[in-house]
Amino acid sequence: MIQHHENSFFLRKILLLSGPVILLLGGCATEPLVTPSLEQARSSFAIIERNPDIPANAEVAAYEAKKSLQLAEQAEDVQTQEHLSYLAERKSRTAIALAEKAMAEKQVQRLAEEKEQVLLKAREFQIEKAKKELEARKQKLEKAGREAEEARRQAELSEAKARKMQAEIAELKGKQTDRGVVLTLGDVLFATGRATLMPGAIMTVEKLAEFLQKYPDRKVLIEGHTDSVGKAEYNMFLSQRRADAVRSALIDQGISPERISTKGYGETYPVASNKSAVGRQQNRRVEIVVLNPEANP
Amino acid sequence: MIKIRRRMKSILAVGIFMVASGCAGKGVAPDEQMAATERIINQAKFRNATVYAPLELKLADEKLKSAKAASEAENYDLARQLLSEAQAEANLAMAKSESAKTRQLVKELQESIETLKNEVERNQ
Repeated sequence: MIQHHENSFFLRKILLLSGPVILLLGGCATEPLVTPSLEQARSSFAIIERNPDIPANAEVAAYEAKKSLQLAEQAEDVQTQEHLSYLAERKSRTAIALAEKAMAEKQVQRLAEEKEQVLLKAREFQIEKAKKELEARKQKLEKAGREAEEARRQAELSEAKARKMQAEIAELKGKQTDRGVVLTLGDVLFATGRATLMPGAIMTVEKLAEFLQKYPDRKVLIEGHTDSVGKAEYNMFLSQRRADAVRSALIDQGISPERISTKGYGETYPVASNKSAVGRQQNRRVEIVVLNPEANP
Repeated sequence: MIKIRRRMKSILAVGIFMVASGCAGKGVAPDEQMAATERIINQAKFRNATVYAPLELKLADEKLKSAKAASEAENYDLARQLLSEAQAEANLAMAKSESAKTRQLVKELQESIETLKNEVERNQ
């Protein structure tokens, strides 16, 4: 290595020394000719040298550009060099354009494959989507079927419930009216002039409580009535107390107080004549109205 | 052997003729090269060089015209030079056009792929 280095150093010295001698001897004849057109050709070829993709994609054209530039470099007169440089410059640019074309062609091929893939994916996606839609529709249909079944069952159930309630109302010996079912507790169920319930009334109250527990959306209105015997104010007071007594009995049976309203009407609403004992007895009563669900007391 | 000798004789005869007639400096008109150059220029035009490489095509045309003029003036060497320059120019015009067209195709493909992808995404 050292030897080689020394040798080259020695050689360079000789060259440096001999250069002026040659120039002196041969005049300027060996000095290479460099016209502006050659410089232009060189700079176009430099693009090829800087970019290895160009010879890789336009091998022949790049080789021809190189050869052409070499010829231009060797030209000995201006006119010839300008002509050869012109050719070299165009050949370099041609090589560049051809390489661009070749690279673009490769890209076209890649993109065509990619497009194919995207199309395939799009198709797969569409199939998938159609499947999902089909599945969703199927489920919707099944759901609708289930719902219809449920509705039918509910209808049957509520019909049965209604039938059962009818039977139970019948058992309470109630009277169906616009407001709801009206039960009448007769006078005999209260001690005379007093508001306490007689044992016979307890059974009716228990049945009513049972009914109300089964149908928690029903409310009751308890109305007290008397005959015309005695002072009207007293009768009003008594009828209210009797209605309240029924209410207390229902509360004792576990019915929520909010569901029960009371009102004493005294002697104002007789159902029979107060002239006979039978009529007066009919007028002394407590009416329990089991209100329809939508009705308010 | 006889054939070679005969050919040598004819070459000699042509040489003598040329020297004698004083046409040695002018040489033969580059008719074939002229036709070839015209073909290349037409090919470039056919490949849409008027759109993609209008300057190169124009230069090639001009060189061809100058070459014709030089040839008519019996300046055949100049005509040959101009013709080879016109060919180089026309070849460049052709390469540029092809490159531009291919790159345009790349762009179109990229756009159509983009559109397709967007469509798929929007449907998701």
